[in-house]
Amino acid sequence: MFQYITRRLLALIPLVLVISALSFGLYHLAPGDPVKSMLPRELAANPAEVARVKAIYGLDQPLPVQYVRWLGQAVKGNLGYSLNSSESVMQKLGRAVPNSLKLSIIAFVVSTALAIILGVISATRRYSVFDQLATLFSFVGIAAPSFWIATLLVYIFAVKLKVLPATSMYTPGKPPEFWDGLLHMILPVTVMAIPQIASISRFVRSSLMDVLKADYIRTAKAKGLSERVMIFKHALRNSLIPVITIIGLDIPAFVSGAVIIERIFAWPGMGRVTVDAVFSNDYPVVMGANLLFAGLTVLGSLIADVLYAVADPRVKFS
Amino acid sequence: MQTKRLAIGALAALLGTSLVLSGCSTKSSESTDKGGETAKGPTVGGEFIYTSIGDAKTLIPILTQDTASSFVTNFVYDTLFNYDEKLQPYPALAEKVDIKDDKVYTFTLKKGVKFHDGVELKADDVVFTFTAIAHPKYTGVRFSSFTGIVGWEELGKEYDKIRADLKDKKIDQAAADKAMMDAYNAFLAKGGIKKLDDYTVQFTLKEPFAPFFDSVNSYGIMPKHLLESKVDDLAHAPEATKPIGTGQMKFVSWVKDDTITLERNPDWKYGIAKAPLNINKLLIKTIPDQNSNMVALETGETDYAAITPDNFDHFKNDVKHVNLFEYMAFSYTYMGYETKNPLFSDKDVRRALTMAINRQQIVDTILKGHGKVAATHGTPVRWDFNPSIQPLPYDQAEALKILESKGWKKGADGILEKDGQKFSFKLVTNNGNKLREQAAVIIQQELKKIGIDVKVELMEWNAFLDFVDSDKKEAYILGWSLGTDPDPYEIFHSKGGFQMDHHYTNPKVDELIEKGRKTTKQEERAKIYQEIQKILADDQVYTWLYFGNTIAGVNNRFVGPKTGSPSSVGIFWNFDQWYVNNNKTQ
Repeated sequence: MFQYITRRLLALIPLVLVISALSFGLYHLAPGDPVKSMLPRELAANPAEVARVKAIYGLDQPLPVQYVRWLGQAVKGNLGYSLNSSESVMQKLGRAVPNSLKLSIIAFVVSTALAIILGVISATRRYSVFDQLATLFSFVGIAAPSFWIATLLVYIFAVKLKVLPATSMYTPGKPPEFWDGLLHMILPVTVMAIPQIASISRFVRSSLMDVLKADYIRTAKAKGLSERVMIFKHALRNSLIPVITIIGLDIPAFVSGAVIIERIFAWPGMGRVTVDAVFSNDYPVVMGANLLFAGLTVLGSLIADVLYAVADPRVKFS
Repeated sequence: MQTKRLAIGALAALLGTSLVLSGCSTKSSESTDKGGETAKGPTVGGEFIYTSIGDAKTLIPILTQDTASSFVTNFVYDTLFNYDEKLQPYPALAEKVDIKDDKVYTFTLKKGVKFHDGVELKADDVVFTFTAIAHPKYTGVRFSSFTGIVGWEELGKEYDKIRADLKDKKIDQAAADKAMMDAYNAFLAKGGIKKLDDYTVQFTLKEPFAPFFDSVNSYGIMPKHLLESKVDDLAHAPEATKPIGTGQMKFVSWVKDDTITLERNPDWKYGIAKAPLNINKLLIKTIPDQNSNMVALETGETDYAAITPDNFDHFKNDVKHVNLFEYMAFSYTYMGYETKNPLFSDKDVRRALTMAINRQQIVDTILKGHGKVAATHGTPVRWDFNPSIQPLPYDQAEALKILESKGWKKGADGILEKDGQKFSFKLVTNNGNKLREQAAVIIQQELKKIGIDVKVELMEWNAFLDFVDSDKKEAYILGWSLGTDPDPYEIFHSKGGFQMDHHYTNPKVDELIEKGRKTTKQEERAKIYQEIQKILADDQVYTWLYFGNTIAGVNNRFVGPKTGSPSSVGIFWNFDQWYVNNNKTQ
């Protein structure tokens, strides 16, 4: 297994290289010139001024030269400076990633736990009132856009009932406190968790229903095992394999941040950093974020593969 | 959306003057006061939580380009002169200014002004602030704002030559760096910017250039003793994120993308009230979503938000703890034309197009009445505005008559035709700007009524600007944010930087603009600009659409806000007079 993981990790290097070269190339194919975005309009219209600023940032070099330069620095851990703020790319990512992680990991734990409970009850009490309600919730949860859910919850809990804050990570002007932070987290975590609960619970339900039809479950039932042991010891573990795949592929999303949710709740995470960078043509930040997401996507699928073995002893690494 | 912020930022940078977004006027302003009448009077204390759509980018005054950054530097730094709500300058760091022959500006500084680290501000700091813009390693965009100073323009040409040599590999980087430093030192020796003594600074211009006074008062004075050694890379100096100025507030902390905290400077007395602030702390909180901004004001999490026209009634009627202040913004929205295109080359045709569009309907429906139909370049809230110019009337019959007299006849499909060509064009604006998108649709419907076929197209902001700057455009909707100085050289002079946005040239306008730059007396300048405005309106270079209003919502715990001013601080122009009403509990 150790060998397997090492091999997969090594394979990650060429993959990330290809992805970085591709995104570098694609980025420069897209319309909009980073230098023109940096300059006020009357200067952006002046070719001499654009050339001057291009030279300052090395953007007058041929694309392959620029890429190799960027890569040379990136390998050393230097992703350059943001074009339109005084921060380095590493500083920017370094402060935004933890904020996004805080939101997404808590939402993930809450939603996975609730989704498994919901899915198991639905699968074992098929077509009961509970199952029907859970199905209804799932469809609404998947179909309703998160900005709508967010607006609704903010209206009810912040504007009308005034029990929860509508924006920020902490009350502005006060030193960060645990309870204050927790209170500020409730609405964004809920909005983030609802579609996750909705979709994962459907996977758990259908996957568990398939497993419950399997021969070994019938055998277990015939042996006279209690329903609880049968479901939690034998069936659930097997039914989680497809669910793990889904969750593994969700890992990069933990870090990429939820653009809309972070925006509505003024949460200073990665979603905002990347969208701001894309709109302002801040390409060092875009490249840095792409590199991070590419690495994490590959890592996420590796983690999912390793988890298969934990869930299913039949899976062997070779 | 983000695009909108960029749009505002880019437009506000017009003419390199201070970033200006809002205006004020006693006539057009309205405030709904729901509190403060029982106030006891000012006491020191309290904190004000301001909200901004975007976070600041840098806090070095000569590097800022966006309103979020200059909002902060305005509190931390002081300029030589500042502007009141009527756009009249009053001395801030300067005691007075003597102007000789309209081209030698001698500023006498106040004595005893201290930077937040305790060091006294002197003439050297003023000289440093402006010469740093001429330094070879300066990365900001204000170089061209000061080309009127003796030796400055030549320095720019010298730099260009050295950079070209470097690019052609005639010299290496080290030689280029040395040549540029030599050129820079030679410029300093010419004495265009000169310290006469510790409290006197002199700027000498090549020839009279009235907009200079506004430019020199657009940048906060920076501490030479802290920044001189970092002038090679000001953008990444510690002071870019931890500024030290002389201003009404001292910098405390900056959590990026989240909150900037400023604290009252007890030694400051250079504002309207000539006394330190009453409010103890100012928090500048970034909330990127416009609706969330308003929600946070409504829930009491913050004390300020910009209110959109469609939320005006809700805040006015239902939100008891918020006072609204409405004032005319320092900007206008227009439909621009490619006048090289035969469709739009005739001013009578452009006049007919304007007359065919019900601009009042645009103000009433998309601005919900919170604005006014515009008639020409300029704004009613600046001293140079010509009040006698009225918008062209809305008269579709007359518009059609004009077009028919120019040879346009309705074809079988109801579209106007001339020499086999249909009157059909593409109207472009940037996506994400709801007001402009809606205005485009109204224009499309209006022109259809008289037989003109308009196709509306939305473009991403940067692509849109590139398109507007090209000859390919036909018509477009865009806006201008105006500066404190009315010089329209860049927009309407035949050699201006935005000439390609319309390709309109008029020797008379060129002559007047040049004359306006050389005239320093405000009353005389005003007459010149009024004449320019008249010509531009007669020629309908644009179809002027509307002036929008700014609506500021402020928690009614605070006593003192009046209406906005045209500086980038908007309603905060008299922040030194505000205080917390202690009778209110909120």
